Amino acid sequence: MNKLELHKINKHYGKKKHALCDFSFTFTNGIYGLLGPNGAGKSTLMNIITDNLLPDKDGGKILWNCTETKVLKDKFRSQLGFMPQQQNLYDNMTAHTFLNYIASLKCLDKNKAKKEILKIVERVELTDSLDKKMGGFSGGMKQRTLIAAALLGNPELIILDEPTAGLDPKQRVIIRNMVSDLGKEKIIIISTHIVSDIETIAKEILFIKEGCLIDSGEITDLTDKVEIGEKTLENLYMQYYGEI
Amino acid sequence: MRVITTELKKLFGNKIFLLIIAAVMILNAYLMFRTANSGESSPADYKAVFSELSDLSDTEKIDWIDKQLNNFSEDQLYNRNVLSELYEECSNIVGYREYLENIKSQAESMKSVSIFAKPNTFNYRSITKTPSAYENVQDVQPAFDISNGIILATDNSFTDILCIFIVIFIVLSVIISDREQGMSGLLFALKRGRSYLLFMKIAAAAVTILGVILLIYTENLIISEQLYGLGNLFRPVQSINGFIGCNLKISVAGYLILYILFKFISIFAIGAVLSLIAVNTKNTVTFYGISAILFIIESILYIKIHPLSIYSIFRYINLISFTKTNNIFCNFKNINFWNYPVALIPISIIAVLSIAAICVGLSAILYSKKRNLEFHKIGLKINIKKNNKIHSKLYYTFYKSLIMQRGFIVVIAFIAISGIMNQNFVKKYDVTDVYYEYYADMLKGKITQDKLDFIDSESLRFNDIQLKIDNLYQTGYSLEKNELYKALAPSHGFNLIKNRIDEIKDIDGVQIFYDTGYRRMFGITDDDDDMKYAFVAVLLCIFLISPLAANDKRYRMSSIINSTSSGRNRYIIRNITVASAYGLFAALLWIIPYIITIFQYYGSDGLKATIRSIAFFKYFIIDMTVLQYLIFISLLRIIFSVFLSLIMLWVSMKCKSAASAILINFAVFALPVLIYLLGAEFIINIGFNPLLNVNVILNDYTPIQLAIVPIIFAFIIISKIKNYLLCS
Repeated sequence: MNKLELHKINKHYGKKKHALCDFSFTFTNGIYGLLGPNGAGKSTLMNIITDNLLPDKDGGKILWNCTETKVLKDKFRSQLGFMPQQQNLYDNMTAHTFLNYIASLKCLDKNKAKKEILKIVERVELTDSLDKKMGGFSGGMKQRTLIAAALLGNPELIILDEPTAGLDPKQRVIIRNMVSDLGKEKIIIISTHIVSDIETIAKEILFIKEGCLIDSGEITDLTDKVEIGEKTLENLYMQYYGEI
Repeated sequence: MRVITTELKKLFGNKIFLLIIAAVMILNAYLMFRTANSGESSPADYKAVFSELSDLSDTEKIDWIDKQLNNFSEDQLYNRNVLSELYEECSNIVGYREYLENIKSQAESMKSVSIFAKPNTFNYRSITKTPSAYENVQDVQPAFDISNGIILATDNSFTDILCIFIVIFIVLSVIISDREQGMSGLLFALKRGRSYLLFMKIAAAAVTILGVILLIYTENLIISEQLYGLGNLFRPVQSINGFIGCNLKISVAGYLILYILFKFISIFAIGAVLSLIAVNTKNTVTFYGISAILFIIESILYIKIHPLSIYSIFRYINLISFTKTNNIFCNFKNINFWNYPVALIPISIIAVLSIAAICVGLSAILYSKKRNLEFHKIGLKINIKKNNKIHSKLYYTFYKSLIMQRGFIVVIAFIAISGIMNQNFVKKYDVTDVYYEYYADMLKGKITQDKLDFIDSESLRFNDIQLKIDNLYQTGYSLEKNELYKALAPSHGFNLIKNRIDEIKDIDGVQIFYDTGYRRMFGITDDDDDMKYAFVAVLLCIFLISPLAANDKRYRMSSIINSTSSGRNRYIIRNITVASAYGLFAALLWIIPYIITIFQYYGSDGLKATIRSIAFFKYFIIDMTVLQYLIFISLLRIIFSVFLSLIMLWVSMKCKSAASAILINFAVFALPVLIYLLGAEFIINIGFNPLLNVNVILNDYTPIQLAIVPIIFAFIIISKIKNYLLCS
């Protein structure tokens, strides 16, 4: 059983903007959904976990299986699969070369990488486009390439920032099912605006507002908190963020 | 290896990189041919002499050359300079034993001279150390053979500049492009996405640099072989002209290998320094700025520090010095390391390797500590709007350029550079010009009979003095002769004014005034003011204009902008307006301060006189005053500056990133000026140089130069019409 612990994570941008405020949570194997409006601090949290961003000085600590990630360094990163929220890829590169490149940066053996790439691209339905240059890819294809890159090397911790953005309904279902299968043995953290993407598969949902964790729990427990209307996650979202 | 291979694929998958390499190879080849043919003696002259010498021994060769020199006739296949040059070269080789003996005996004799005899000084220590440095070449016997080929291949600064230019592109592509493409977030989260990735990137850069150096120097050697021949490659390196003082016991072939290796590590060290800068800068403009400052400081240290100074370590342990490979190896040198002599060759090798290793190591450490998203923090701070005022679209275009793309820093920097250039302006001290000014002031105004009479009488006076000096030719020094020479001193300045009057006296309305300042300003003297100032103006335009449209493309804003009612043509018009404003600003930034400086140093007499009063312009097609000509030339400069700015904008619109646009604009506009300023004068007529210079068009116009403008105009117009038709 893997465990990712966040202890009182704080992050400021400049002097005024408090992006994360004493954020603490413990993740164990399973799928976690991060919900919150734009600017709530979801991407900041993901970037701090993936070491793309440093928390404030004395701004808390992150432990992976009881050891601080800043001590583990690349050992932690070898357990990590990250899909950032971006649409830029190397235009001149084929998807195959790109995935090979990522595989080598994940220290995957050449032969193992070859097999794994073929397996993953089949799951994300990119087999036919594997040898095409990514400059000609649609937004959805780029998204699937990035998901494939995140899954390479069978990481124990998978962080997906808006994984279904730009995908058509069929592809969203494929990705959702794939994530659901993987979530049994791994920690998967998904940031999304699309509540329906996670409400059927997530073990727990975390609501973030202005950098603070305002609520978390299993979906059934959370939906019980809905005060107006049907007891759905969507209505709870509206309730927390004052949209109704 | 997979990562290196992928990094190489990324680099070579970039068509611009391949185009740049091809352009550099063509330019390098062209410059090689021009350099070889620019002197008084052509490669054919040398070949002709060496074909005669092929079967002779070295002593026979020197006798043959001596004989040819004594019986030289103009109908020979080679010129006299070649023979004189080769005679000296051959004498050095034949006298190599004596040269080595001299080093020993000179060391002994210098130790006894009081100024060198203090044991705790650099000079003393260096003198005592030098003879032992030549111990291992005592049994070397250089052979006389053609050296020009090897020298042409290995000793030209333009090849070094082109190599550095490619290295900048490689560093940008390998280190910065991931960040520019927004890939850092993904890569940093991978196990090997930090130090390892950077090492692999630098390794890929090293492989590419080695490939480029091999390619360029192979080209140099092939061209040199074709032009001069490389001679026997197994002769000792001391056989090469200028290498007589080299203390390495190697052959020419061995030296070429050593040369290529050292060139590679020195260029790689420059690449490593640039990588360190790239890792620590937040955007491309800052990278260019810091790199430019570094090279300026290094150049100043290299030029200003005396070779024997106590600070000479900063002259030799210097990126500029490292690129001058022949200077390091051609002669045994000790550098003054705080009064201790240190041999230049080992210290250079150690230093260049250390710099490369330290920079690579530091880059890896800093890269591993880098956090991709920290860049946004600064962006957020600056982009916060203080109020919600709605401004014009043009305002936002300027805002984007000057604030978001840090253009204002570039503007401030270039205003400072312009100020420094004008502050350091030098009016050359020239006795002839002092007397020329004296006579010009004396004869100021219209040419009258009185003035012509004065000229005649003064001519006679100087002739008399000259005659007296001629009569005293056989006698030794005398007070009388000395006085006569003093009296004759103003004659050179007088002759200048006399010749000028002789040339223009028949033209209506001409006046005499001191015109050296105008001649300097109008490109008639040998000063390169016009190109120096043009270089600064071009750089300013490149840094301001290149990111204009390219950044919109990079951030994929073009599609959003083009979908609005103010997109497409209006977007282009706004960018054209901003680029034109920058072109105008750049032109004014050099024209106005320069004119003021010239007037401060040379005065402004004769502004209202006809331009034909300056002898060079006596046949000028339109009769206008000097002031009108000055305004005319300034207007032309402004027009061309704006025109070139629009071409830079066009490049920016075609590029996907600011880095590529800056690089292409630099290669097209700034590099030829730089090469000209480094001494390749023929390049003044090539590319956009005539438009930047303007003087060359008016002073020495040729049909090709005049054709350039309409050709470029036609090219742009056709391209615009084509685009317009495609859009509609």
